[in-house]
Amino acid sequence: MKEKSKRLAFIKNASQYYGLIIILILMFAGFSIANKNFFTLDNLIAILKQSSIYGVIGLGMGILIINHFYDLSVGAILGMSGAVLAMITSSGLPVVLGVMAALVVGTILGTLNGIGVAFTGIPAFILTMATTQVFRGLVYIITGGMPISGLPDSLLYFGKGYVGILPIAVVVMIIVYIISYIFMNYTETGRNIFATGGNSVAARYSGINVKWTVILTFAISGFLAAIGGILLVAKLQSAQPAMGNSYEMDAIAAAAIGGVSLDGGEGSVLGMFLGAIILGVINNGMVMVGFDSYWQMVAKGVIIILAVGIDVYRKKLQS
Amino acid sequence: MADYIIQLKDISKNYGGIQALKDITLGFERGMIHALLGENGAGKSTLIRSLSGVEKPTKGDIIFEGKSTLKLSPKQIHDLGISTVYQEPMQAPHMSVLENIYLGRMEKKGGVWIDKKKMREKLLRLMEDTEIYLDPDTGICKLGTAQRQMVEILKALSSDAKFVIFDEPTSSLTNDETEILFNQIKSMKKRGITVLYISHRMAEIFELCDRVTIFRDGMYIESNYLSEYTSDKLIQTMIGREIGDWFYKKEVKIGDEILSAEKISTGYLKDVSFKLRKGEIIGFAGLVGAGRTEVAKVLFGLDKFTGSIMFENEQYHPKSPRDAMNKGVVLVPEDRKIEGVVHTMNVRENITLPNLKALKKVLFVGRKREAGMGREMMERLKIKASGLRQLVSNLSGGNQQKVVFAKWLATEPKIMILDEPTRGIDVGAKAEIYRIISDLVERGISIILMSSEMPELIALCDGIYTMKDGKITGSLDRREFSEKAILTKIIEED
Repeated sequence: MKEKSKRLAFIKNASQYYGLIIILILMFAGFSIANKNFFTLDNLIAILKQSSIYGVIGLGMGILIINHFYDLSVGAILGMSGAVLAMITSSGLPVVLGVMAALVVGTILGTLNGIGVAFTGIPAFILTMATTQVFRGLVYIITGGMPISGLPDSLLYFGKGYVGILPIAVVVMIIVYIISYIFMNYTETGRNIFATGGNSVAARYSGINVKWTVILTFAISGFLAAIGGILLVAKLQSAQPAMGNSYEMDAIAAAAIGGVSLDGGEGSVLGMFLGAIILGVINNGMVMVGFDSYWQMVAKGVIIILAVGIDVYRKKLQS
Repeated sequence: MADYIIQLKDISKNYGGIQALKDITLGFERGMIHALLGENGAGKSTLIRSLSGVEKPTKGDIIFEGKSTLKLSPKQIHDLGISTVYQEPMQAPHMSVLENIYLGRMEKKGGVWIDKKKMREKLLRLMEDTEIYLDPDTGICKLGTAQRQMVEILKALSSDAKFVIFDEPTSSLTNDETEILFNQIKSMKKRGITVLYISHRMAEIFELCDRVTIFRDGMYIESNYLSEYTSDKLIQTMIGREIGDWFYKKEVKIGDEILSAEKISTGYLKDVSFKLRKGEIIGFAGLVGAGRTEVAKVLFGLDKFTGSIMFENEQYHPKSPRDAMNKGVVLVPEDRKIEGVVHTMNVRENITLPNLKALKKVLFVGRKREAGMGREMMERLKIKASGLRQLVSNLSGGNQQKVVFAKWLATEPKIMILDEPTRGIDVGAKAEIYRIISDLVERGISIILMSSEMPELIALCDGIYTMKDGKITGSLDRREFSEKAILTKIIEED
């Protein structure tokens, strides 16, 4: 009896992903028919690899949106972290040090955004739009506007290497998603992020330190953007000052497709994962089928409107 | 046959399961100043909103000068000649006096271009007529409440209003400003305009009004000339009902003093002092805006204050709700939907929200223990939900309120502050909430109850403080309780 109710609960839980899974299946079917090489193990792994960077940034953005905020500067934070990593490692210092520094810088920049939003009352949209300029400008200043190459082999291996059949970047993404899943579902802080995003007044009235929660969420997003930066530098084998430009849009798109409510308080790590994969399938599939990148932009836009539109419609039905 | 300017025929208004107006049939005679009286929740505001078209009655009809206004928009009703002056006028703060007065009906040249000159001329003529002089180009945000009300009066007159409603206009005015307002209202009457005046202040009503209409519990009670009444009789008619004998509080042994507040002041409160003993229920009575919620906010660490509070023989100066909660003081807030529950979360998550620290094992919240707490509280407070996973937004008001009680009970508080705990809750759920409150004091929890409902205060409290304009105006012992005694202490002009 108990077993049965548990299984029912699981099905009920899974049902919120049916829409995403159906979209995925349809896309798989369509692209497979159009190109035989689409549905092969190599290509599926390539899709995961392509999804890994904005999958990680999109996760940070999704957690922020659950907390009812945005950070438009994640692309610039990614650029800054990547530049820091490249500068340190190309100067001969150990890769571990470069990675640590990149993560610290990303976290600090995210934290600064969080402090700004929590204490000044400037809307996150405006504040992070402004800090995008500041951070990106600083990237150009410290790099002198030049790409940084000559990175050590161990870092390059990070971009090319495999664990079993999976590229390292994919393994990193999966680990990050698993930790985030546990964090959001099984810790007090994760629950506080949901509560603050759903109703910040009631959260405060329930004894939650709302400002601290907001700052922490921005810090997490900055940290994940830094991981994205490290993965991108390893993949490109160099750091470009314009690296990560407009990645925030893909990050928001992944979260929105993954069913994170733009009103805050609702969303799931699993949904965000599916959102990132769907985005990856669009990018990969359209190339395989032979559309150029301009059509990819159009398709991405349409998918976002569809995904969020379905969500809005579903909520309307509920109320 | 009286000459009514506006008539209500069998008007009812429901909000969900709550009936705010019940079969109201009445008329307002042309050319008089009418007072509308009733306690909080008697249905006055709903009536005003229905007259001005902001809300549509569930059934019935409103006839203004022989024409039904029911299907008209607020703007069309305004154009017909019904204007409303609110306590805090709703205006566009960054636009000028002139623009606000003609908002939505600007004079236009050739149907397109705004004709400021013509509007200005008309406005100046009106200002001379009424002797209300304001700079037409001043921004609304630079004006005080009294001047903004004058803008509303000019607006009403400029659109040839025939029926003007004033909703508690004097509550934030000084005596001088009130007098200016009264002169304006009286001269409106001379112009043949009918006025509906809503206020709690007896003296004002006797000074200004010709007739009075009394509402109680969403029902029309009576209308008559004011000369037929004394202040006492008006209050008696407003209260009307007998104290319900449907609830009796259990006798609880009251312990030692647990909290004493000395001269608490904030921007709003002035020298508020009171005492609370273990297992005691003290009530705060007062009209809307008397400062009851502000007292609650101070105690729950939401507002800064001066003065001193002793709690269990220690200085108590909470810096945040978390601080207050950790010390054993919790608040069931006034606005359940905004302050009480997180609507995106389910019953279990709402109940455990302030208790996650206690439920934590090393780093992680134990799901089993969490569900256990949720289930225990659901049973104890008889929360009617399909299960712990039901979203609170799908629960009835009474059950949402029980969820708020549940989350705090699980923290094992020493003092619970209840701010309008039964607002918007049906009678059955009310009785259950009273039972819960009665159980709480039996367990030695002390209660501070802010309420607008007299029977509730009388039934539950051991002592009552009355408040007005941020000050405590008196206190009553349980033996002295009567609706009349409380209302008199609240309403009396000082």
